[in-house]
Amino acid sequence: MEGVAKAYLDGQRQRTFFLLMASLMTALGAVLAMGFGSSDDLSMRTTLGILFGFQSPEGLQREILINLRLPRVLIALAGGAALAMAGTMMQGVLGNPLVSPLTLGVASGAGLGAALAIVLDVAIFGAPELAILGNAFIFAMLVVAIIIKLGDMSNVTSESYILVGIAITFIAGAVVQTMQYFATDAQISQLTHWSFGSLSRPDLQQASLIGLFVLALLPSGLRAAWDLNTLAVGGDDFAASTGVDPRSTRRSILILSATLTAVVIAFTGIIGFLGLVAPHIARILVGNDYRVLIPTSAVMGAAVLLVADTIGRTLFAPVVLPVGVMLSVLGGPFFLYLLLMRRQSA
Amino acid sequence: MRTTLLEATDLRFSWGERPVLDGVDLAVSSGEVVALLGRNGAGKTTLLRMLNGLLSPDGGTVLVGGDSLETMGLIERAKRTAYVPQSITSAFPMRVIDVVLLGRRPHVTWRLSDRDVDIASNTLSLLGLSEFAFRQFTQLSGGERQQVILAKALAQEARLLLLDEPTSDLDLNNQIGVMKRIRRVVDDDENRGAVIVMHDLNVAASFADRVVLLHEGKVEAVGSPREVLTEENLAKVFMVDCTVDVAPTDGRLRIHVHDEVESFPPNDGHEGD
Repeated sequence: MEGVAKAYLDGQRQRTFFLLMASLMTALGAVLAMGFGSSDDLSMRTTLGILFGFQSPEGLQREILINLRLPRVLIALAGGAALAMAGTMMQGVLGNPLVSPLTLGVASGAGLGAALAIVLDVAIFGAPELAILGNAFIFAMLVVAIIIKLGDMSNVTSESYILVGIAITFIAGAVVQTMQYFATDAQISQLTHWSFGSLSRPDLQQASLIGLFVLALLPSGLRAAWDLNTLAVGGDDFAASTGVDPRSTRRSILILSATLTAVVIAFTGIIGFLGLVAPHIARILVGNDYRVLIPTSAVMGAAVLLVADTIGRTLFAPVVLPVGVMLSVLGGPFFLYLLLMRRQSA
Repeated sequence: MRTTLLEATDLRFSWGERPVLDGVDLAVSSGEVVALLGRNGAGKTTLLRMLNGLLSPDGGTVLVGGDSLETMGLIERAKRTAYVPQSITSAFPMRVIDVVLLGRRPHVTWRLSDRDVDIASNTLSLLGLSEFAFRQFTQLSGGERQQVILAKALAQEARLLLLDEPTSDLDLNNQIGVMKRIRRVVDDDENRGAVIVMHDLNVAASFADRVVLLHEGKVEAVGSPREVLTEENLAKVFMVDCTVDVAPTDGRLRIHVHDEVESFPPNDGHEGD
C-alpha cells in the first residue's frame, strides 16, 4: 500500500482509539459523578463501594443514588450527547459554524409552551406536574413541524431555515414577554427558573427514556455522515454531483436534530451553549470528517454537560447552580481560549 | 472500441424570460476530449450543469451511457458523470485526502474499503498532489483547490468528466500540466471522455479532439479545432480580430488575437436603415 493510503488508515485508527478513550473517560467520569453530592451519608468512597458491589446501600443511600444522582447523570450523558450531535449536524447541513440547536427556534417554542403552562395555566397535558414539560415538548415539536413544512417547499435554502428560526425565536420571545408582563411574581420566577436549564427535573424513568431515544437516533446521525461531509465541503451542487440529494439530506438532518433538541429541552429547560461549544471542541480535536466528528461530538457533549453539572452542584453545595448557567460561566471562557489558541497557531 | 458516452439533443433553457440555450445538440464519445467555448454568458456552464442533471432543461433530452438523466437516481448519475465546478466555497476545513475520498461516495454506503483509500491516494499521486494529502483543503490556493476537486472527480471513476474551467485559477505551467493529465486520463482509459469549458483558445486547440463553439444559445460551430477555430468564427463569436496559423515546429494551431472588433459582420455604415 502506498504512503498516503497507509498514513490515512493509521490516522483513522488513531482517531478511533481516541474516540474509544474519550468514551471510556466519560463513562468513568459518570461513575465518579455519582459520588459527588452534598449528602453526608454518601461520600465518594461509599458510593464507589456501593456501585462496585463491595457495600450494600441503606434506604436513604439507595434513594439518593437511584432516584436523584442516577437520573441526573443519565440525563447529562444523553442530553449532552443529543444536543452536541444536533449542533454538529445542523452546522454541517446549513454550512454555518455559528449554528446551534437553538438556531431553528426549537427552544423558543419549548419556552413558549412552558410559559403558557405556567402563566395561563393552559395545559395540553393533564397532570399539573407534567403540564409544563408536556407543553414545552408539544410546542417544541410544533416548531419541528414548521421545519418539516418548510423543507417541503421548493427553493428552500440554508438561509431560509436560519431566517425562519430567527423569526420563530422573535415571535415566541415576544409572546412570552407579553405573558410575563401580565404574570404574577411567582409565575415569573417559575418561568425564569425553567429557562435556566437544569438536570434535576427528569426522574429515573424519564431519564432512561431520553437515553434510549438518543441511543436509537444516534445511528441515523452516523448514517448521514457521508452526506454531511459532501454538503459541508462543497455545498449543494458539489453534493448533488457526488450522488447526495442536498435538499432531502438537509430536511431529514434538520428534522432529526430538531427532534433530539426538542426531547431534551422539554425535560431540562434551555441549555443553550452546549450545542455550539461541544461540536467545536470535537472539531478542534478530530477535524471535520463527520464520520468521526459526530460520535466525538456526542461524547464531548456528554462529558462537558456532566462536568458542568457536577461542578454546579458541588461548588456551592448544598446550593445547586443550574447547569445552563454553569455552562456559560465555565464553557464561555474555555471556548474563547480554544478559539484564540487556534487562531494563533493557524 | 469507441462508444457514445453522452448524447444531448435539442436542449432548451431560459432563466425567466431570458433564453440561455436554444436547441443545443452535443455528443461525446469515449476517448474524446471536447472543449466548450464561447463568450461569457453564452450558456457554457448552464449546458455543463444540464449534462450532469444539476439543472433540468426546459426541453430536450440528455442520455448518459444510453440512459436518460431524467429517470436516473443521483447515485447512478454520480457513477456515470463527475463534475468539477469553477470554484467551491467550504464552510469547514477538511483534509485534502478526505475531500478526494468523497469521490468514492457513490460507490460506498458506510465503510470505505482499502481499495477506496488506494484509489484516492493514487489519484492524488497522478495529479502530483500527494504532498498535500494531509493539508487542510481551505488553506490551499485557488489553483491547488481546483486540482483537488479534479482529483475528487477522478476518484469518482465516472466515465464522463464534466469540467468547468478547470485551469482558470492556474499559472501557465500548471495549466499545461493539468490539461496534460486530463488528456492522459482520457487516453489511458478508453472508456472515458471529457467535456471541458475553457476560455483559452490555444489550450483548447492543443488538447481538445473537438471544439464546440456556443453563441447566443446555439451551437455556432462544432468539429476539430482546425475546422472550428477559424478567423471568421472567432471574430463573430468573440468579437476579436485575430489570425490563426499553424506552428511550423510542431504543427499546432496558433491563435493570435490583435484587437477587439466593434461589430460583426463589419459595420458598413448602412445598418439600421
